[in-house]
Amino acid sequence: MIIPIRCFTCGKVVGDSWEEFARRVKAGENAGEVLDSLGIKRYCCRRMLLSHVEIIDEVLRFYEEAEKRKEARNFY
Amino acid sequence: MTEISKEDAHLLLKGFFKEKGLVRQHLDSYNEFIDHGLQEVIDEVGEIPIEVPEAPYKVKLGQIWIIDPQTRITGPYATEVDGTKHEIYPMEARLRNLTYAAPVALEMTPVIDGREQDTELVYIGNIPVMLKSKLCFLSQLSREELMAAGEDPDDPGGYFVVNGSERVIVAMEDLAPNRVIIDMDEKGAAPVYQAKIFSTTVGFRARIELKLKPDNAIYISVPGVPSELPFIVLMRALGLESDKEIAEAISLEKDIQRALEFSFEKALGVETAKDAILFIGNRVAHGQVEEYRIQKAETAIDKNFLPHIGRTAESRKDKALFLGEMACRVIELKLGRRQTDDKDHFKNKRLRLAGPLLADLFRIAFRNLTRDIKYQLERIGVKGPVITVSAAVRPGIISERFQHSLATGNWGRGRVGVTQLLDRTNHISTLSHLRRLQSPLSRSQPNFEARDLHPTHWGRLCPNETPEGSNCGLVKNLALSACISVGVNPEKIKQTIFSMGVVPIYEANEALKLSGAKVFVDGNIVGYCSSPKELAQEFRQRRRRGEISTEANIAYFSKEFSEREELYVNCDEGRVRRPLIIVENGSPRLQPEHIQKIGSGEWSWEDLVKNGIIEYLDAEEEENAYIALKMSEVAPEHTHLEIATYTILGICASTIPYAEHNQSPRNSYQAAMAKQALGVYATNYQQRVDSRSHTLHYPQVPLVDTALMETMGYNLRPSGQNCVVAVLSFEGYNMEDAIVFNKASIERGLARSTFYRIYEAECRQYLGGLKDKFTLPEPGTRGYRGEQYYRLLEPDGIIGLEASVTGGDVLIGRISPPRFLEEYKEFEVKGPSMRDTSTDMRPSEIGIVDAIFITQSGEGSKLVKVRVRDQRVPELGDKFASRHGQKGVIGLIVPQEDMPFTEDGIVPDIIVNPHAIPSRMTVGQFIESLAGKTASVRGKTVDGTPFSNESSTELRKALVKLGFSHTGSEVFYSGVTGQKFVANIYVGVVYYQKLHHMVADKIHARARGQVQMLTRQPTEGRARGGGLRFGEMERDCLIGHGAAMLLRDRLLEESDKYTLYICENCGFIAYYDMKQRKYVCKLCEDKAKISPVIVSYAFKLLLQELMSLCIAPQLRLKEKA
Amino acid sequence: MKIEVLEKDERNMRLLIRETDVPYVNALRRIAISEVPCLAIGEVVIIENSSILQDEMISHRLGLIPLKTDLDSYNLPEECECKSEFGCNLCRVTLTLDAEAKEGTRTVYSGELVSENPEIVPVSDKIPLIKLAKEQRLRLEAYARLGKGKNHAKWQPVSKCTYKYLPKIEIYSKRCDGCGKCVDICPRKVLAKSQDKIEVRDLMACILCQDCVKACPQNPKAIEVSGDENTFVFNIESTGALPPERVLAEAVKILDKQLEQFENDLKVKKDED
Repeated sequence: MIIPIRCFTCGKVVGDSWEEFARRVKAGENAGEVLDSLGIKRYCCRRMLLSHVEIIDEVLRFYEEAEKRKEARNFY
Repeated sequence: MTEISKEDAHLLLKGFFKEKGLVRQHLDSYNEFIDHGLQEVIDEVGEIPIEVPEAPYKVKLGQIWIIDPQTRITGPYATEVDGTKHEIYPMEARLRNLTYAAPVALEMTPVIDGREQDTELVYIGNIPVMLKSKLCFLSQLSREELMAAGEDPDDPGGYFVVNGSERVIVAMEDLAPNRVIIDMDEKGAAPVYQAKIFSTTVGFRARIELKLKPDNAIYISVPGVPSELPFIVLMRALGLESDKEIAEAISLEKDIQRALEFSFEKALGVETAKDAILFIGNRVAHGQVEEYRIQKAETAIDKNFLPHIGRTAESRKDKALFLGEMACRVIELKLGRRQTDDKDHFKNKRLRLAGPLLADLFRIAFRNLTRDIKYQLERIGVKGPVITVSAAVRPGIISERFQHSLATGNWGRGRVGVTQLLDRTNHISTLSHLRRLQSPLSRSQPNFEARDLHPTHWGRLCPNETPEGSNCGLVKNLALSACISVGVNPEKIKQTIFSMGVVPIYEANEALKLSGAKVFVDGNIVGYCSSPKELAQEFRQRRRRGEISTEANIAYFSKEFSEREELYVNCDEGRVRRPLIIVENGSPRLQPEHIQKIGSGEWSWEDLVKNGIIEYLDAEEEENAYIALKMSEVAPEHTHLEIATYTILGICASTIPYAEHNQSPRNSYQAAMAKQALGVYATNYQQRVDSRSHTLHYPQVPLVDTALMETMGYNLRPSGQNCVVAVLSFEGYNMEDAIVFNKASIERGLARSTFYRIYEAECRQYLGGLKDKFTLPEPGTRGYRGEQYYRLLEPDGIIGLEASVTGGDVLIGRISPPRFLEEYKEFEVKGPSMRDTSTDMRPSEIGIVDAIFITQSGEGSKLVKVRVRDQRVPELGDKFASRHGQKGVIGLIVPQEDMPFTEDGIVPDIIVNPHAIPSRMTVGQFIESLAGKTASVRGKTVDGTPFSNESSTELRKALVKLGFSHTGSEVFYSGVTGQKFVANIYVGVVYYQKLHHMVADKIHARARGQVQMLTRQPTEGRARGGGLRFGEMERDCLIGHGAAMLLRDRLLEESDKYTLYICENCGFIAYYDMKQRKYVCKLCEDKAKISPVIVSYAFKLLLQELMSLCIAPQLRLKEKA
Repeated sequence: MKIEVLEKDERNMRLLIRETDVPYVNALRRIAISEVPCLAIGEVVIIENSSILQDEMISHRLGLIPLKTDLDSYNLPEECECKSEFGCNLCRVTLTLDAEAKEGTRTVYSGELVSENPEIVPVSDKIPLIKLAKEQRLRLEAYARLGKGKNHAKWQPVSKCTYKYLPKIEIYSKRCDGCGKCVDICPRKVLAKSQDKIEVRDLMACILCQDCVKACPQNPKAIEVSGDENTFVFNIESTGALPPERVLAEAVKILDKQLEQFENDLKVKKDED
C-alpha cells in the first residue's frame, strides 16, 4: 500500500528514502545507482524499494475524485 | 532478414492485448447478442395471432430497441418504489442489491383486417447488462471518470451484477453442432460403426444416430420414434424411391454400394415413399387412424429429423443427401478407408458464451410473453376501434426470467451451474475466472480421453491450469493468445466459393462427383471442386487481402486422410483461434518497419491483420499449416511463424518464472494456488461490499517477473512479497513442507493481511402492513440474547464504527413481527409481540467494525451492510507458497537473534527444508532464488519468462560481478551457538504468496453442543459449532484394536444415545401414556411387557423410516447376559 | 581481549576484536539485538482517523519509527517505581500528531510528530507515515516506552549486528601454477594475479566462501582459506536511536548483570543445599 517503514529482514529504515528513489528512477536514472547513492547496500533493503508499489496513490484517487465532485456541487 | 527479438515479439503482443483486452470473448458475444441475437429471436416469432371469436386479428412484431418508452432511458437503470426511474452505475447496483439491467422495448403493430394500425413501442422487460459491454455506461468512460463512478479502472468487466452480486457466465465447451462424428462402439461382441450428429437449429437440438450393426445393415434413430428405422426405409420416406437414386446419393463407388446390400434387404416390402411413411407411422402411432399415422410420421421426419437442414417438406431431398453422406462415411469406416473421428480434436469443439446462452433464455421467456399477450388480448376482446397492446404486456415475465436464471445458474431443462459468483480473491483469480471453460461431461465418470491434454490445445488452452481432483481436465482455461470467433454469415462465403469455381451439388455431374473434392461449409456439403488445393490457396490469399472475412477458415484434406479429397470451410461462432505470423517463401511477412509502426502507435494490431501480416488459424486450418517456432528456424516449407511461444500458457501459469525448469505437475499446482493468494483485488476495495475479501498490507512486485505480467496487470495489483529464503533444515521445525519464519520480519509487517466480512440486514415489509424495524431490542422480546450482546449498538440499532466485536455480539439490532399470526391467537390475548431477528457476528470470528453502508434496496426497504475487518498477522498454521508449487504451513516463528546470519547482515525471512526439493524437482525455485538476488543487487527486475529468460549461467556470472558467490550460497553463522556453519547455505530472494487458508478461519473445538433435530447427532460444520466426524474408517481402526468400550463411547455416549422402549410381545415401539403414567403398547394392551433398550437415535430413526415404507420392523429382545 | 576500531561514524562501527572466543562475541551480538532497550511508540490513542489506512496499520507504522533514545533519563516500564500501567514521566514520552490535508493530497511525515520532550524525536523526520486526501484528518496521541528487541522488533536498536572470523589465506606458491581461476571466481576480489603469482590483495574483504579453494585445479590445493576462531571483525549498524558504541557498552553491561544474576542464583542454590 504505502512504503513500509523498515526493511522486513534487517530493520533498517528505508521509508525515508522512497520518495527520492521513486523520483529519480522516474526521471530515468538507473535504479541500482540510485540505491547505491542513497546508501542502501544490503539486498534485503534494496528489494524493499525496488519491488514496492504505491497502491495508496490509486486508492486515494477515489477520494480525490469524490472531493472534486463535492466541490463541483458546492460551487453551484 | 533481421531477427525478431523477444522485445519485438513482446511489443506485438502488447498491441494485441491493448486492443483486445483479456475478456474479449465475453464482450464480443454479448455485443453480438444485443446487436443481432435479440432481433433474431423476435423474427422467429414474427407475429402473434389473436383469436377473438368475432374479429380475429394479428399483432405484428417489429424492431426491438434498448430504450424505455416512458422516460427515454437507453441504458441500465433502476426503478424506485415511487415509480421514478433513473440511470445507475454498477457500483450503485452492488451496494443496493439491484440488478444492472437495461430496458427493452418492442415495436408492436396490430393488424386488423389487413390494415395496420399505429405502431406502439411497448416496454417488454429488463435485460441484464454485461459490464464494459456496449450497453454499459462504463465502456464510454475514461480512467478518471471510472474512478469518479467508484469503479476500479483496471477491472476487466465481462460479468453481470444480479441482485447485488457479481455473476459470470462461464463458457461451455461442447461438441460442434451439425457435424457428423463417426465412431466405433466396441463394447459388444462385434464392433458397431456409428455416425452421430447433434443437429441444432434455433432453440431445438436433436441427436441423430446412424448405426452399422453386426448384421451389416444400417439403422437410424429418429427423435420421437421409439425404435430404430432401417436406413433405406427412411431414404424412401424422404423422397428417393428407386434403389439407384439411393445408392447414388450415398456414393458412386462400387465397393461402397455393394456394402448396402444388406440394408436394402431389410427394407423389402417398402417400395414407395408412401409405404415408407406408413412404415414409420406404424412405429410412431401404433393402431391409430391412417391419416393420423401419416401426419405423425411426416411431423417426425420434417420437424424432428435433421432440423438444421430444414423443418419443412421442401428440405426432404437435402436431408436424404445428407443422410447419404453419413452412410457413406460409416461404410468407409467399416472398409477401413477412414479413421474414426477424434472427439477431442479441437476442430470438433465449439465454445458457447454468454450470447447464445442468453438468447436461449430470451427465446423461452419471449415465447411465454407472447402466449401471455395472446391470452390477455383474447380476454379483453374487442372493445373499441383502437387496441392498446401495451395494456396486455406484463414486463415481469422477461425480467424475472433473466434475473432468476442469472442469479441461480439454473438455465432450464436441467442445466445447472451456468453462472458462478465471480472469484474476487485477487486480480489474477478474477481474470482466470473470466477465461474459464467448462465441459458438460459428468464429473464422476473417468472420461480419460476427454481429460487428456490434446495436441490441438497448443496455443489455445493452457496446458497447466486445470484443477486437481474430479474436475481435472474438464475445467480448462484459455491460453493468452486464444481468440474466439464471432462468426459470419455463411451465405456470403458460399457465394464467394461458388464464384471461385466450386460447383453446387445439384449442378455437379457424375464425373465431378466421382473425382472432385467435396466442399463443406459449416458441416454442410455444398458442392464439388476439381482443384481443391488451389482453391484453398486462393481463398487464403483473398482473406489476407481483406476480400473475404477474416473470420472464415478453410482447410484442405488430401487423400491421406480419407478416400476422397475434402475441403472444409468454417465460419461459425465459438471456434478457438490463435494469431500467427504469415510466412511466404521462407521469409515472414513481418518486417522491422511494421514493428516500428506498432511501437510508435501508428498501427494497431488490427492493421497487421488487415494488411495480411498476421492471420488467425482455427484447429482445422492448422492441420494444413507448418508452423515454425523461432525466427531462426524458418525454412521455405514453413507457412507460419509463432509470435511468441510463451503464449501457450494461460493467466495463472504465466505467473511462474522459469516454468520450463519445473516438473510440470508443480506448475499445475501453482496455477491453482495463484488464485488463492492474497493481494489487492481491486483499488476500490473500500467502496465495495464483497461478502468476504482479503487485502495484503504491503504487496510487492516480483523481482523475477515474466513478460506477461505487465499485460495482466499483475504489476499494479501484486499478490505476494519478495522474501529472503534460505534452504536449511532448521531445528526439525520445517519438516514435511513446514516453513520457518523470522519473528522480527513478521513484526515489521511481512505477510500482514486484513480480512473483511460483510453482514447485511434488510427491513422487510410483510402482508398486513407489518414490517421489521432496526432498533435496540428490549429485554422482553422473544429471542433476546442477553444485555451484553447488544452493548455496542447505538440508538438506531446499528453498531458504532471502530467498535471491537467478537463472536455473538449483535451488529444490527432488528425486531420482526411473528411469522405465523394465526398460531398465536390461541395462546396470547395481547397483540402480536415482536421477535428478535438481529444479525450477530459469526461465532468463531473477531474484528473491528470498518464501515457501515445504509441505503435503500430496490423494493424501498432499508438496507444496512456492516463491514467488519480483522487484521491477520502471520501465525503458526498459516499457509504460504512460492510460485513453484512449494506450499507449506508456518511451523515455527524464530526470533531474529536465533536466526543464522551472514557477515553482511542478511538474515533469512523464510527457511525452507531442502527435503522439499529432490522428489518435486522444482529447479525453477532455485533459479528464481539466484535471479531474485541478482535483481535486488543489480537494481533491475530479471526476466524469468518461460522459454525466453535470462539463463542461470548468465545469472551466476552477474552474481560474481556483484560480489556474491557464483554458487548462490553464502557463509552463515549460527544464531544460537555463534559458530560458522561448516557448509555454505543457499540463500536468495524468492517471491512468496500468502494463501487465504489461515488457521484463524479453521481452528475449531467442541466439547458438547448443538445436535441436529432429525438424527439428534452433533451438527456439522464450524459455523454451526459442529463436531468432527468419527467416520467408518476410524471405526474400523477401533475395531482392529479391539477397543469396544471406546467405540461405544464415541458412537453412543458422545453422540445420539437413546433409550427405546419396546414391547417384548409384539416387537414394536411402545410409547409413554401421560394419563396412565406408564409405557403402553397399543397393539397388545394388556399382554404388553415393555422393556427399555439402549440404541442410537439414528437406529430408532431407521425403524421409523422403514415403518413409513409400510415395512414392519419388529425387535426380538433377550435379557442381557 | 584487545579491541581495535577499524571504522566508525555516526551509525556504523566496525571493530577488530582479538583474543576472545565465539560464545562471548555471539552473546554480545544477541544482547545487542534483543536486550538493549530503546524507545519506541508502544500505545496509540487515536482521536480521529478519516484516512484510508485503518487504525491498526497506522499504529503499526508509528511503532516502527525509531526514536532518539536517552537511556539515562528513562526507565524500563517494569523497573520504574511508579509501577503503573499508564506510566509516569520517567518511563513514558508522549508524542502527538494532528495532520489535516487542507489544500489537496499530501503526505504526513514523521517530522510532524510533536514530542513532549524535544530530545526524544524520531531519528529521521522524512519517513512517510500516511497520505491524506483533502478533508481527511488524523489526530492521535502516542506513548513511547522503553522496550527490548526480544519483545518486539521495533525495540531493536540495531539494523545489523554481525561478525565474522578473521580470514586466514595461505597460498602455497610451490603448488600454484598461476592459472588465475581463483582470482576470477572470487566474489569479493580478494586475490590478485601478479606475474604468474597469486597474492592476497584485500584480506579483510574475504568472506570465507571457499570458492577459490574449490576452483583450484591442483591436487593438493594450492590455496587454503580458514578463519581464526579467536579473532573477529564485528559490525554494528544502529538505527539511530542510540549511538553504536553505546549499544555495545550497554550490551556488555547487560551481559555482566545477567552473569552476576546467574552466579547469585547458583550461590543461593548452593546455600540451600
